[in-house]
Formats: sequence, C-alpha cells, structure tokens
Amino acid sequence: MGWLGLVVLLSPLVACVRLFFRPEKNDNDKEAIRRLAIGHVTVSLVAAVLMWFFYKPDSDERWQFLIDVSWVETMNLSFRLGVDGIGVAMVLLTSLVIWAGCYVSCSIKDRVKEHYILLMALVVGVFGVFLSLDLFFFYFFYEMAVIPMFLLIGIWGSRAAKYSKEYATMKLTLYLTAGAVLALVGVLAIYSETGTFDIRALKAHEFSESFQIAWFPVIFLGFASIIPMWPFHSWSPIGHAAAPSSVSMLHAGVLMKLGAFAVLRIAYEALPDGASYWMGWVGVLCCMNIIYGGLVAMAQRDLKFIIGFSSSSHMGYVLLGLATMNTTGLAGAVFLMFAHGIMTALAFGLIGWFYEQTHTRVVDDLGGMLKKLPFIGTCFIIMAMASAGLPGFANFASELLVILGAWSSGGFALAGTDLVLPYWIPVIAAIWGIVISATYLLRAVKDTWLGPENPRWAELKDAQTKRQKAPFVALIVVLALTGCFPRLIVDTIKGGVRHLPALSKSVGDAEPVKGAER
Amino acid sequence: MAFLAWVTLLAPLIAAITLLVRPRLRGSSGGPKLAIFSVFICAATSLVFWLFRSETVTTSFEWMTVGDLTISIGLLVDNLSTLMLLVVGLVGSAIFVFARGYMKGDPSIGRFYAKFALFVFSMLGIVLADNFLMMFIFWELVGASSYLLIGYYFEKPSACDAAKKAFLTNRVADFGFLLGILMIWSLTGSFEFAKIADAVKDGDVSGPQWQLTLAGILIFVGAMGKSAQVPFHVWLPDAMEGPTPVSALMHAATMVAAGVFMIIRAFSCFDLGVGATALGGASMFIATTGGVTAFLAATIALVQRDIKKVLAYSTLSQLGYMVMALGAGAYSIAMFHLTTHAFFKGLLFLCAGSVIHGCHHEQDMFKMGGLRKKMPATFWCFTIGMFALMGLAPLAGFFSKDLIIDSLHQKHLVGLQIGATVTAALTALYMTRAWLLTFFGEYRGHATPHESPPVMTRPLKFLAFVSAVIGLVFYYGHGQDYLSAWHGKFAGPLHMDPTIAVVSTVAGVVGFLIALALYKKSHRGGEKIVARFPRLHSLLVEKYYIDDSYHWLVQNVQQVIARGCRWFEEAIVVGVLVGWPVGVTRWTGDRLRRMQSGRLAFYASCFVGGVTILILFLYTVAH
Repeated sequence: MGWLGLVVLLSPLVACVRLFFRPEKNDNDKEAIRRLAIGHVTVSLVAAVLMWFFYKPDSDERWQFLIDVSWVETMNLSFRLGVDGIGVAMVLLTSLVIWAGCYVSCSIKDRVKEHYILLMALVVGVFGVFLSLDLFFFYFFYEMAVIPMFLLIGIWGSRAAKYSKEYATMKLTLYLTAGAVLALVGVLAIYSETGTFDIRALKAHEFSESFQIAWFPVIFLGFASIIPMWPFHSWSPIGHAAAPSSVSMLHAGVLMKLGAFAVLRIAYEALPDGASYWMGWVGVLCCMNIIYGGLVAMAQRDLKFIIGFSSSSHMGYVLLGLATMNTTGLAGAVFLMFAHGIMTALAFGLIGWFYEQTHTRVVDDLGGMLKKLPFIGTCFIIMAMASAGLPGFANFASELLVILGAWSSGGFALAGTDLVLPYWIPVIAAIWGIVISATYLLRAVKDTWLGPENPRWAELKDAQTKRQKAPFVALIVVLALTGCFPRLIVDTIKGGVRHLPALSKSVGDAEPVKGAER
Repeated sequence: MAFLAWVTLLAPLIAAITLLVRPRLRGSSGGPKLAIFSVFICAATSLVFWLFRSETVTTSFEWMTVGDLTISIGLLVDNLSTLMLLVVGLVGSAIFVFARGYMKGDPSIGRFYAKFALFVFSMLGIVLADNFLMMFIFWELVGASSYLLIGYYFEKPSACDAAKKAFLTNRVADFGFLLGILMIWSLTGSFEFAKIADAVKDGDVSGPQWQLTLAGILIFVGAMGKSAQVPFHVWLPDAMEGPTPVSALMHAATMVAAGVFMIIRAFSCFDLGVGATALGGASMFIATTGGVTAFLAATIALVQRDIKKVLAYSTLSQLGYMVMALGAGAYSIAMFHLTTHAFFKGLLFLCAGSVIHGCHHEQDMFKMGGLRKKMPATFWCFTIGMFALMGLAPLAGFFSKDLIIDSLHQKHLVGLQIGATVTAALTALYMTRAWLLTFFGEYRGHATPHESPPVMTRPLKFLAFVSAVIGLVFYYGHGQDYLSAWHGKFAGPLHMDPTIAVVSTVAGVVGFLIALALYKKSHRGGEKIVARFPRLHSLLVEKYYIDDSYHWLVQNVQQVIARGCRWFEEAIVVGVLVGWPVGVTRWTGDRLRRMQSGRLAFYASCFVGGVTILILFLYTVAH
C-alpha cells in the first residue's frame, strides 16, 4: 500500500507541473486552472482518507505505507516515505485543509495560475514533511514549504494593522529559516553520530546522555519557533493576518503543526533523555503561551489578530501535551494539532469570505452582519464555540486529554534547578485558558455578527452555491464527527504515540497519580 | 430498556439536526411540530421508566481510550434520573406546546425550535449521565444552548450582552467544576458515579480529608454557576432577555435546577449512610451560600417592575432554598422542592408569557393591571401557581418548602432556619405585589389586552393542575418512598414538624397581608415606603451593586491586564526581542554598504592599503 503515500505527495506536484503549462488568458482559463487544482487535491484527499482507513494502529509494524528508494548510497541517503499514526493524522489534516483552501481560493481573481502553482508547491512541502522517514528529505521538504509562503503572502497578502505585508512575510520567512538552520545543525549532529539519515534507525541508536542533553535544546528551539512557542511567536499572528485566506488557512492550520510534528519525529525520537531532561521548562513556557496569548487576543481589535493570538494560545496546549511525555498528553497534543488545524482553517476561511467584501476586519467597524450573512455567520459562531472548547467538537476532546495527561504527569522537573513545577499549575492555566478563550471569542462573535442590522453592510453576499459552502460544511462536519466520536482519530494517533521512545521516560500515565506528591 | 434510554436522549437531537439541515422545514409549521413530537417522545419514555421504576438501567459505550484511561459515555436510569426525566419531559412538553402560540408569527420560529430541542437534548444528557465527564460535556452543551436562546433576538444588543454574560459566568464556574472532577478522579481513580461511591464507601481514597472537602466545594462551584447562586447569580435576571418559553423551561424549571440535580447526583456518591457524609466542611459552605442567595434574591424581587424579573429573582430565591437543603444533607427534600418548583415556576412563567402576549409585549407591571377580567384563565392559573410558590396548604410549595425549613431545623442551623422563614414572608410579599399589580385595579397600559388562544392556555391548565396536586401526591403517596429510595441511601420517609408548618404558613400570610394592605387600593402603594427608606430602595434597585462591581472589575482589571499584555507584545517582544537584532543587522549592513561607494580612488587606496598590510604580515612571518 506504499503507493498511497506517493499519491498523496505527487498529486499536487503533478498539478504544479501541469499548471505551469496552462494558459491564463480569460476567465474560462482561470476556471479550468481552479478545477485542475481542486481535482488534484481531491485525489490527495481521497488517498489520505484511504491511508487513514487502511492504517492498522494495533499492528506491530510501526511504520506503514513504506517506500524506500536508495539515492546516494555512500551517504546512506534514500528516499524513504512512510507514516505512523501521528503522520496519518497530519496527512489527513493537511489534505482536508488544502482541499478546503483550494475552494476558498476560488475568489482570487488576480494571477490565478501563479497562486495555485505556489499553493501546490507549498502543500507538496508540507505533505513531504509528514511523510518523510529520512532526515535529509524531511529537511528538504520543510524548507520547501517555507519559500512559497514567502511569495504567497508577499504577492496576494494584505496589510495587517500597522504592519505591511512585506514586513510580515519577511519576518515569517526569516524566523522560520533561522529556526530551521538551528535545527539543521542539530540534525547534522545526529547524522554525524549515527551515520544514517534514516529516521527509523534513530530509536535503536543509543545516544549518550550528555549528547542528548546538549543537542535536544538546539533541535527543539529550532522547531519550536514554528509551533510557535513563547517568546518566539511574534511572526505568527502577523503572518496570519497578512496572508490571503487560503494561505492563512494552510499556515495556521498546517504549517504551525510542522514544528510540533518535527519535535515529535526527530527530537523525541532520537533524544528521549534530552527531552525528559528539558521538558519541564516547556511546562513553564506553555503556560505563558496559553495565558499570555489569550490575554493579548483579548486586547486585539482585528479579527485575524484575535484568531492569530488565539492560535498561539491553543498551541500552548500542544506544548503542554508534549511536555507531559505520557500517552494521554502526547495523544492529546497530536489530536489537538488535528482539531486546531481544522478549526483555525475554518476561521480564516470565514474571515476571508467577508473581508473580500468589507475590506476591513476591525471588529469596531463590523457588527450586525448575521442577518445578511446567515450561513457564514452561523459557521463562524460554530467555529467560535469549537475554539472555545465546547464539547461535541474535537477541540474539547483533545484539550481534555492534554489536561488529563498534565494532571497525571506528576509534575515537571525544571532542569538546572532543584525546583519542580507542580502538575496543577499548568492544569489550572490550561483550564483558565478555556475561560479566557471563551471571553475573546464571544466578544468577537458579538461585535462582528450580532446587534442591529448595519446599513453599511447591506450589500454583503452570503455563500450561495455548493462550491462556496462545501469547504466550510466539510470542515465543520469533520470537527463535529471527531469531537463526538473521538475514537475515529484517537485510535489512529494512539497507534503512533505508543511507539514513541520518549514514553518510557514518562513519570505517570493516564492512571491518576493517586497519592503522588503527598 | 437501554434502547429506550437512548431514544429518550437522542429524539430531541434528531429533531434539532433535522431542523438545522432542512431550511424548508424550518419555515413551515412542520418544524415546530417535529420538535414538539420529539419532546412528547421524551415525556412518554420517561413515563415508561416511571412505571418500571424498580429497575435500574445502565448502558454505555467507549468514547475514547488512551493508555490506561478509558472515558465512556453511558446512561444511567435510576430513581433519581427518572424523576428528573419526568420533570423535563412533562414541563418541557407543556412549554413546547405553549411556545407555538407564543412564538406564532415569528419568521424564524424554526430556528427557535431547533435551538430549543438542542437544549432538551443537552439537559437530558445531564440527567442520564453515568459519569462526571459525560455530565460535564452536556453541562457545557446546556450552557451553549442557553447562550443561543438568550441571544435569540440577536438584533437586540441587550439580548446579546445577556447571552454572553450567561455563558461567561457559567464558564468561570465551570472552571471550578472541571477542577473538582479532576480532583475526584485523582482521589478515587474513576469518573463513574458508581465507582466513586464504592471508593468513598470503602475508604479507598488516596488523599487526606481536606482534599475531598475541597473537591466537593469545587464541584459545588460548578453548580453555583448553573443554579445561579451568589456570587454567580448575575446572569439569571439578565437571561430574561430570551423568549418567555425559554425563560420558563430553562431559566426556571430545568436548566437552573441542573446544578441542584448535579449536586444530588454527585454528593450521593459521598454519602456514608444515615446523615453522614464524606464532605466535611463543604456542607456548611453550601448551606450558607443557599441561604444568602435565597434572602438577597427575595429582597431584590420586592422592587422589580418587570414581571419576568420578579419571577427570575424568585427563581434565584427558590434555588437558594434547594441549595440550603443540600447543605443540610436533605437531598431527597431538595429533589422534592426541585420537582414542585419546576411545575409551579414553569406555570408562573407561562402565565407571565400569556400576560405579555396579551398586552402586546409589555413587561412592565405598572403598565398592566385589571387583567383579571380580561384574561380569566391566565389569572386563575397564575393564582394557583402563586399560592403554590407561597406555600399555601395543600398546594405543592407547602410541603416542599416547609420540609426544607424542617431539615434546617433538624441540623440545628438556627440562623438559616430563621432566614428561610423570613424569606418565606418576603416571597409572599413580592408575589402578592406582582399579582395585585398585574391582575387587579385598573388597566394602565395602552394596548387592548386579550386572553391567549387555547394552544397557550391548555398547557397552563395542565401545569396548574399538577402544581396543585403534586405536593399531596408525593407527601402522602408513594412519592416519598420513591424519593428516599435511590441508591438505598437517604434516610427515612419525609416527615414534617407541624410547628414549623404553622410558623412558615403564618409568615406567608403576614407577607400576603402586608402586600394586600399596600397595593390593594392603588398600584402606588409602595411609594410611601420608598420615600421613607430611599437608600435601602436604591440598594435593592441597584441589586446590591454586585453587577456594577463586576463590570468595574472587567473594565478596570481584566481589560487593563489584557492591554498591558498587548503593550508588552508590541513594545518588548516585537520592539526589543525582534527589533534589536533587526536594528543591529540593518546598522551593520548600512555601514558596510558605504564601502561600496563606486569611487575608484577609494577602491585603489583600499587595494594599496591591503597589499601593504599583507606584505608587512608576510615579512613579519618570514622573519
């Protein structure tokens, strides 16, 4: 079944090449371009769903859908594709978000061809990261995802509050590249130790403890800036706000997950002792993410900034899940990556919908739009509820797992000191973060949609056709399905998480810490 | 029977989803009918459960499993949940039918019924939950449907604010609830009520007593949000912005009682036998909270002008009674009062709805009056509901309220007992005031009041009948065995001390007579007292300044912190952490750029200088 991964990866690549030779002279050509792109991402989506369906979480085979083509034998470098449960969840997320994103981008009228070419290149990079089992290709695809982003924001983006789109895209690219270079140093250090680029070999190789403790922070910090971890987060909300809708969707929905995924796939895989040595501090930083991000979101007036900072707040839960280093917390973190990706893609798609018509996202200018845009407004309220952790949506289930994981982690030892961060501090921060998120989201809902009908927005058009509604409906359905029946995705994720070497270093598992710390 | 339990739970959900995805159905009369039918199903199944009540039904499926942790979604139909099902089903049916008349002509009536059915689903989820996490899930869903329904008239800013306030107040309280659940999980190792009860009974609790007490208090904080206890009470009066049927079902009969129900369900796990509980000091805290709420709310109700607000504060006050009973450990009595209250308060709200409908959406009682003759059916039903609330024998409230006071007496909570008795007098006072202002004297409004159509008065009559008899049936019938039977834990049959009954009846009569003396002749009867105690009056009108102080806190604390964080973000994180490296890079680049000036003389001199240094260097090295 290895070809499924190849289909997922190659389908957008083929689209990229085909689009290159397409004319773009009139509206018919543009329509054909859109159809072509949508067709190809649909193929990816179908393949991803099949992957999810045929993935066997209980099997002893950790890596499934394998492909191994030797490339440079002297360097032990091969083109290796394959996934575990975590990868399956991420591939599924990416294919869903890009599928919805392609539909949402139908509203772009300017340089349609270039837009879709870059979008396809971007998604090839993202798929590549999630599918690679080779450090070289992992890094290659990682960088490949960053470059199209630079152009997409720079060309089709919009001004974000007081920052120009050029500033935003420069900042984003520099941040991600700097992080990637830092991580590259760590990756090379791992290569020089093991002599192979094969990710599958990392678990078996025994790195010395001093090596792990020295190199874990390098790799972690390199990738954590893309999560984004506080205080390396400032590129992210500005980048979200400046990007065009489909790119924001992909950026917040998927690109940010690359960081956490890379941490799991490389840092946790190779350096579990380093992880358990350092992760206590992440338990501290994630509280900053959660609370601080939420509070800044509360003081924002631009909708995309609100969602942008809320993303950085929510990614704090992912960091917390990573910091717990037990099955529950890690599975929760991956589940939350999935849930947040879909939720935030929905948010940016919806904001993009009316921003094209209102040309403002500042909540003080908006208001009273629900009467004119009942469909978009209803979807937005559903999104806000999901994001605020309402049960029935995947975000709640995943945050719950993270919180349960944190509770049973038995505390976070802070490396370099004798201190231990009691488990209940991040738990309280996490639960209080849900209260904060409800505050700014409901405020955003009220200021944007509710209230008396605003004559300024009398001309707004709601989503009418199936093509306009499809992406939003699909994302909501997935959010609700995985929220009501979390086993659909949690069982898959578990299949990956249970093999993580870092687990053996965990203090506690989901069994509550009866009597611990007393 | 397990299948029937699932049907009960899912029927309203299916109706809600059907209404959501079928816009055409929403516009027609079929939409409301579908929703009403789904609630009738719930009422019917709950009657079936009632008939087979000796049987406890449990069923569950695995929601998710991670590591050693399994979270399940399961239904538990025992005596307690059957009674609550019956309340939700019967009161819900009456109100759903009533709403067809009340909401007639509303263009988005389908949306209304979709949300209303969603609420019933979430409420049933709370009732049927067999573990804490599932209860929390539906608890939140109830909060969300409350948000949607309070904000039903979303073009009214006050309704949107009220909806947001309700949701956020509950969210803050749920913070405590979730923490409490986690604590209990870590103490007993389970989320399931049955397993928690076993662990507590066997003393298999991994922690000292104070942790169990703290967990109990935290869980109670959750109930304080939903059941609107001081200081979380502020959202309930504002919630009256929703349509009146919503106020009747959610904010009087069922949803606000969910807190009390949850506590009964939760604390029955901590019960160690006759009267003893593993909760320690939590009980005292709970009883006091209830007492304070009951008294404060009753005093505020005295000065309200809006008929729905009077009833809202009355609801707060009655919830305070139930919570007092919980604090006194009299769970079955609290449940008894919950049941009777659901019927008579639902009735009173529907009567208010009928009055509002008849007066063309006028809610100010001072613009009503004399409706007794114009709306006779509503008048009589309101009267029955009012006397039931005041505790006039043999109507429902007489039994349940006096039993609560009796339970306080048995626990020697003298202060609370006196407070509860005084509150009974106040209850009579504000209800009679509302009754006289609305139905007696001359009509003072500008509309032409008319009696409501049968689709609205029939549910009134049904609820009035139940309110009249339910106390008797329970007290003298099988009800009391039933109430004390679940889990086989709660002690003894209900028994009332005659002295207490007499005292509280006298208190009620005193309140009734004072109101009669003040308002019988003129609706301005209260003005003399207001003139004599202006400060007390403004204190009550301003609701003890609690809302204002919260507003101040949000504006001056929360927002200031948020703006501070934003400033930090822009000035420090972006300005310094990012800005300085950027500045240094720019500056260096700028300096180096100047070397590329394009002047040949400069390049030549650099070349000469470089060569000279190189030669000198090589020369030094060579020697």
